[in-house]
Amino acid sequence: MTETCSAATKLWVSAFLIIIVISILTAFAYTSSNDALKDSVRQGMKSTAAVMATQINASDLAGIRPGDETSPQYTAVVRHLRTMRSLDDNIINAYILKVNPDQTATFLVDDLMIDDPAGSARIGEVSTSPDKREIFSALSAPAASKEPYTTKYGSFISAYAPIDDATDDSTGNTYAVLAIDMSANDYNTATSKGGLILITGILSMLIALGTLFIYGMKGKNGN
Amino acid sequence: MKKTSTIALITIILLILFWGTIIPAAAEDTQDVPFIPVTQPETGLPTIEPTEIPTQLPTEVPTEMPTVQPPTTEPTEMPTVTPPTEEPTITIWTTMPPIGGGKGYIDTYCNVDGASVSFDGRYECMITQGVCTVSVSPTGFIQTITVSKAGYTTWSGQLPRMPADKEHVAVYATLNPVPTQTTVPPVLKGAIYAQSSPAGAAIYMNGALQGYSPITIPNLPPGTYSMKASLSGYTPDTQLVDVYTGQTATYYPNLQQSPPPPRSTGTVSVTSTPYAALVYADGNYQGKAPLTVTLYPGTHNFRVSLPGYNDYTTSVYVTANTNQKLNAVLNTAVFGTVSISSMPGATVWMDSNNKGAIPSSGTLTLSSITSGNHVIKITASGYNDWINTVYIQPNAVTPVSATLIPSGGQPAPVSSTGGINIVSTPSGAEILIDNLFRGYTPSTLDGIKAGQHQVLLKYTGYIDYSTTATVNAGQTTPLAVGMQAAPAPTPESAPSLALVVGGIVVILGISAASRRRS
Repeated sequence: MTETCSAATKLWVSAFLIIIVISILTAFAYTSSNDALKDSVRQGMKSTAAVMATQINASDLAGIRPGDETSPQYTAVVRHLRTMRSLDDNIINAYILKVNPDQTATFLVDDLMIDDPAGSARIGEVSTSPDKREIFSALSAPAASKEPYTTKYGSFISAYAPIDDATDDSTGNTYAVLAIDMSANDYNTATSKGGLILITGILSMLIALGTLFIYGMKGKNGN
Repeated sequence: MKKTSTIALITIILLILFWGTIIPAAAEDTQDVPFIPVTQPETGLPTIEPTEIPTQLPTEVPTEMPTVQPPTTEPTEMPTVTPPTEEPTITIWTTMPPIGGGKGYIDTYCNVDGASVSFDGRYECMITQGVCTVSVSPTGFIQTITVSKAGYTTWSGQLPRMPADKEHVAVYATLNPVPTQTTVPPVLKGAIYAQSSPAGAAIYMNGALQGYSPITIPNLPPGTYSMKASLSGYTPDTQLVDVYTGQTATYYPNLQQSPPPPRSTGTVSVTSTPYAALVYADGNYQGKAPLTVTLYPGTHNFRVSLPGYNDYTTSVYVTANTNQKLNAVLNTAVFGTVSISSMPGATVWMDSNNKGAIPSSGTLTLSSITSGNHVIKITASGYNDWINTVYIQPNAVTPVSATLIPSGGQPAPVSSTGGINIVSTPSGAEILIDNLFRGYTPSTLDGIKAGQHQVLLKYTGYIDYSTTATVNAGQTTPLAVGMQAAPAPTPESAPSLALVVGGIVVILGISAASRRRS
């Protein structure tokens, strides 16, 4: 009797350990996978923003002032931005920010100004994005949002890249920051691919538990 | 007698009590009432007359003017001048009550002219030429003398004693200037010290070049600054640095050596004699001489050809970042004859030019062919193409026997050739067309059979680019490719890890169960 109880106890303990171990590993794998996907998406956005930023000539931006939304100079930059943005369906906004000394960022060019003036940021409008540190960092190197955020324009995750102040003979100084937005929904969809991991973990757990109990029952019957 | 003595004793006691009460009371009044009005010209007689008696048009000028002087600093209490009602009444107040007899003087000496002298908080006079004399009643009571002036420390001391009649009591007061406080402005700025290894990196702050490391950027308001360090041959470093008031923040960029730069190139400037010969590098047409061809370092085969002249071929070792000259002097062609034997009716192509069909005799003879290598292709419906490079000997007949092999299926259409012009970002990618290496981008590849071809571009660190390009006969198909950088390796597949661990647990479970059974 004592031996039978001991075997059952061992069986339950083993099952408990299996559940614990596989659950932890599955959760770890799920989290790691999602993090890797997020990093990959953000890295891709940063690369795209960086390449787009190289195509913007700071001299085209120098004369833009508030109220110039219909000026030929402004619309030319808007079209340029729109063309680049249209190359990737995942990018839904492309715009240029001017970073002020007090670390606030104001819109300089919004690529939707021609197509949707009411839904676009005007020149000089202060950005309400919580990505202040990222925008500030983009004065030096490409940066991306850590997590999706929401403003009056929608929910996005963004990437930012410096626009050099001179296309030729660059000194490396930054004139403005180019930003691109990806829909937060698209981002979440793209980075939530861990379902297979969860299924695999659950299956592994079931197989392990099943095997354990089958052998446990055989052992009991043998006795 | 006893009764008289008693009365005398009582009288004496009453007198003592009387004087003992009156004098202290007068002294207390002196303290409480700042100024006792002088109602008559001072005669030198002591008086304990009522304290305020207006004088009707004094006929005599007082021998002693009121000691109240216009203070330079606001006195705590101004002398009260009662405005005349019906007839002018002048009330002059003096500082001390004429208590008791006589008049003493308090001489207050001070090192600062213009200082105000106060007795027990009452303004008395101003120091002039180092002294201020105030007459007081010897029976009065003054406890504290204060001397003050703006910008100086206030002196305050006890009066040693009241002066007797016609006596001067000196008080010496020394005023010291208030020490000028060296107001140290509050430090509102900070600084950033940037030092890189190796030194000399360009330091940018908020996207603006500040200088080269090591460098201190002073006078920065507290806040966060976006710093970047850039040095040729190293990957730039960026950090956000917080600056605090009165502190020097440090910025030590982590500069890592950059990966090897893209392959460098060299150039070969080709000229020809005669002029405008066609230039081929590694089999690829480059243009007409003179021209400059850009190539990667290494050995490259050049061929310069011109109709009527023998081809000029040579190998050139291209060195990075150098320019070499190549002058191809073409000799007048030496001709030869080629005799091609093949299936009658088959079409003969030489160097992509149609030379006719094999006659019924089975042999096609082509004469006046420039000596050298020529690509001969023979095609026939239902047969596989025969292609070979044939060297045609000068002044001789070169026999060529081409046996066509039936294709076994539908006869392949006879196709002509076109070209593909491929450029890529970055340049230098390997070009493989139908899995055959054809050179590096940018390049124009000619002689490609018309139709669809699989084009594959490979470049280290980038994702292979594969596409299907359609080549039209006699045309050059442009192909511009932007290659994407290969993503960083993703973590090891989690499912496999979970399965492995799960399997291990299962095995352990089985082992434990087996052991228990045994």
